[in-house]
Amino acid sequence: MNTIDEISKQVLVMKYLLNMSYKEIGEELSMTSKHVDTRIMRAKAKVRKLMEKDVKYNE
Amino acid sequence: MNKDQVNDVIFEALFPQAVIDDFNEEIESIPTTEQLTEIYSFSSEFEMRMKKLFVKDHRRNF
Repeated sequence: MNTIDEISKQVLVMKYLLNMSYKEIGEELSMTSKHVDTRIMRAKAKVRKLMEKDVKYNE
Repeated sequence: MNKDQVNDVIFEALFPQAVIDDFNEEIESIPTTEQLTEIYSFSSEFEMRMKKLFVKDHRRNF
């Protein structure tokens, strides 16, 4: 999670900790819902990629 | 469900908790007020200067 940029981390915290909707997050951070969605998708993909790399390294 | 799909489901289930855990870890790593006071202490002159500024600002608002 430390590899994710601060804004994306903020988006993730708002979504998963504060259960805010994409619209609410977008309004708070001055971005569109689509942008919020993209940030979440990219953050997940990044973490997933790192996890898979870690698993391969440990095998 | 194949192995990739199972991995997807597991990842989607665990990711939110990872976000929450990471956030809590970050919060817990912040020093307490007492620890911060030990690390960062201001001189008495500085404290006095700041107090004067606050009083000045307070008077300006009234």
